[in-house]
Amino acid sequence: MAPQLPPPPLEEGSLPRQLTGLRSPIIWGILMLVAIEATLLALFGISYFYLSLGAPNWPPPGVGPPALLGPTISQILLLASVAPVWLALRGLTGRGSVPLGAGLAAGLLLVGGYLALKAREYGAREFLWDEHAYGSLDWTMGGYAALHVVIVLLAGSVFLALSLRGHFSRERYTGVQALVIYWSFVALGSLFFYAVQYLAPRL
Amino acid sequence: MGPAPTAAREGPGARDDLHRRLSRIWAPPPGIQGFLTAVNHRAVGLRFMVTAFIFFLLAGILAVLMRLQLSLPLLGVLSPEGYNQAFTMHGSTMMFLFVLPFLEGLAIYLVPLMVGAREMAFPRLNAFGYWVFLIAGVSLYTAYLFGYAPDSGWYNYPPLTGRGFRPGVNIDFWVTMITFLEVSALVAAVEIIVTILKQRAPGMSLNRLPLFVWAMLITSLMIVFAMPALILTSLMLALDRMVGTHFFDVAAGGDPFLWQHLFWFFGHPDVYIMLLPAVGVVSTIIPVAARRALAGYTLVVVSMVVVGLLSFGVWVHHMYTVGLAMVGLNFFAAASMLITIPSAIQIFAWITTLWHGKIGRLSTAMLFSLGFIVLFILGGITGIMIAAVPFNWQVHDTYFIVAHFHYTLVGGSIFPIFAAIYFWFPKFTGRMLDERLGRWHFWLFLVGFNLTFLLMHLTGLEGMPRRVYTYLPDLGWDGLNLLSTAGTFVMGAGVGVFLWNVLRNWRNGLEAGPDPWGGHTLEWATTSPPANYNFLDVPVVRGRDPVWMAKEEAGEEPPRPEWLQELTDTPDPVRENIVTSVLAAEPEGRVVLPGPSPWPLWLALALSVAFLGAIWTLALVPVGLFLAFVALVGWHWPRKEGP
Repeated sequence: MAPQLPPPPLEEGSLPRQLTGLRSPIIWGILMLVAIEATLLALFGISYFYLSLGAPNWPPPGVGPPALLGPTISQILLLASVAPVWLALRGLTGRGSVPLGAGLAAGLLLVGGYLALKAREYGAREFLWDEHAYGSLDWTMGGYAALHVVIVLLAGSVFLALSLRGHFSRERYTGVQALVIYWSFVALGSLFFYAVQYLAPRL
Repeated sequence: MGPAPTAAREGPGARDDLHRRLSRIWAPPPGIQGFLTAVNHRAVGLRFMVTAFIFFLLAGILAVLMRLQLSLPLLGVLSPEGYNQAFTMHGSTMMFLFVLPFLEGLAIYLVPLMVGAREMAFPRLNAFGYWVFLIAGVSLYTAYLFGYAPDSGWYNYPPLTGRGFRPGVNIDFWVTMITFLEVSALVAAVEIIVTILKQRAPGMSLNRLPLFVWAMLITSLMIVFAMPALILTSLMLALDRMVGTHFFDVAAGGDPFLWQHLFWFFGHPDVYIMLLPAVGVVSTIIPVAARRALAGYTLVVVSMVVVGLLSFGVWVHHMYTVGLAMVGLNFFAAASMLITIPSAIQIFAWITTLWHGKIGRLSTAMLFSLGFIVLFILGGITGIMIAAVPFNWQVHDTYFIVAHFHYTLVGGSIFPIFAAIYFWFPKFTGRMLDERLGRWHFWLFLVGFNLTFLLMHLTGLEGMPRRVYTYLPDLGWDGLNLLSTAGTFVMGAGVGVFLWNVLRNWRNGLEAGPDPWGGHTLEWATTSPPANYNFLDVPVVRGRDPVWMAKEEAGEEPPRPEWLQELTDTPDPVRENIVTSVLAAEPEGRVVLPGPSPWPLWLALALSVAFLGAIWTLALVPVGLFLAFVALVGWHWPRKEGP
């Protein structure tokens, strides 16, 4: 029989209802979602290299290495979009001065910029997904990343609406924490795709 | 009802009052609306188990049809196409629609009870997972009824499954509905993990976690890291079929081996995803039968973790014959043989526990547990044989393999599932199953199983290939096949006895009482079936076998901490659960949990518009996703109460 511990310790004499960070089950749920999606991203990368290393020419003949400037700018916009929402979360918890609504709006604008640039970039692609496996990977990875950014855009807009209704406060911000975690994951995940899609073919 | 005075929690009257108040807030709404909106973990868990069992019966009927077709040479019970659909649906059903959903349902029912919680961490996600599972399973069988069932095996290899060789919608049903099912498995895994990590009763540190809960924690983590491989590769195949990408098309730079690697990177862990919960079930039943704690608790937990990790490093042993480099094969052969070590640790722990225990008459649950140990050892031995590359080349794609994996899957998953049903049926229903019928069930099933599958080792060594709808006479296979078919009917008779046992005793069996077996885990510390709120008082755990400890102390336990009463003894209780820390289960706070909601069903329906719609026209995908977004906003829109 395991040794008996004394009765568990107790904070502030009662059990709080507002739980944040790793105390909150919701944050653990989001972390699990991130674990699932990170596994998917890793497997996407493995599939890319499995096909590219097995191919005699990569990219296939007639397709040059991808341009870098446009994708780099859009990638920077997406990474930068994390900053204002992160500052807004700090502001909400009393450690900064950026209002939540302003931070969310700025982040959403940058995310919108990313999507616009990506649409322009893919609109000018000289190949489609149904021409070769390289094209299939390029379009699928781009589409997969864009879908996640759209999810962030939609979720961020709902949070913006809620924050304008005054739903979040210094005591109630677990939802914003969850949003910032997922937002950061999407930005970092797209950075991984960026490295695979635009840097790896130049190696 | 007005607020009741909090001070009056002494005396039976106050307890009754507390029971009434808690029952009311935790009760599902009545009628059809209540059925469609219920989120309670016991309701959802039972639905998972009952639905999965119906799929088990359907897959069993398919097995009987296949055995009838193979009982004699050159029969015409099934056409070649019909046979292809039958074995594909049999395999897909057993893997995706029966074993895993049943075990998840068992966990959804039992884990909160075993860790002393009132509900799971995400009750609505729970309900959502069930609706997804139901829709996917019903869609697959509807397709089967109309002759559009998948027909290329449960592993669904391209290029056979590419648009060029399989132009119809049969394979489309596989790639969309199996992916949809994985969504259900993943959400169940997430909520099981979070419930275990954050909602344990105070004091239930990880080293006091019941073994079934440990097994489900490890299994769920494996699901989190294994299922994405299947989702990704199904997505690629769906795109190849629907929009003309070339992931698996060699002519355009793709590679069909990519499918095999990704599929088995999911597929082999999946075998252990189905086995580890069974290890947890047996590790729970054996100590109760032996009247002593499990020997080597820590070793068993570590061995389960090791099995979980190793299972991600053995997938290539399904691919020995595809022509990979020998060096790689050696690595995977070694890793495959390594798995026997932790598996042996588990088996020795069970034997030791029984050796030093006080065993009375064996219950049916114990019989099935012992059957599991014997059959799983047999399946493990043939597993070591086929982990060796040269032997594997000889028997690949023969009935030897069919015999091997039925020993590991039927022995390793279905025997423990029956053990679990006999053991926990009293908790689910408040009634006992008949032990005499249980013995009939066990012996018929065991004899029938061995008659069917022990002989298949020989059929395979004699050279009979798998997945072929008939064979010529006088190849030396006739008698073996006829006996295997006879064995199927003996197994079927066993399942018939079981069904009769369940139907007869669900309402009218002997009353079980709260703890008919003298169990050690917390589910036996409440009524059978548990009240809507599971536990009247939130349990406080001070050891590994809390129920046995309470019996030994018999009223001498230390007083309950005053702050715990906040959860029960308030004038205005709400659906809430205590939240504790991950390692030591020290109290951190409490969380208000959502009640019945229509959104889980809406979200499942919206997503099925996208998934099923993709089979006909891709235009339905954005429609479904938009509806899903609406459902998600409705789902997350703040409630008046709580965060």
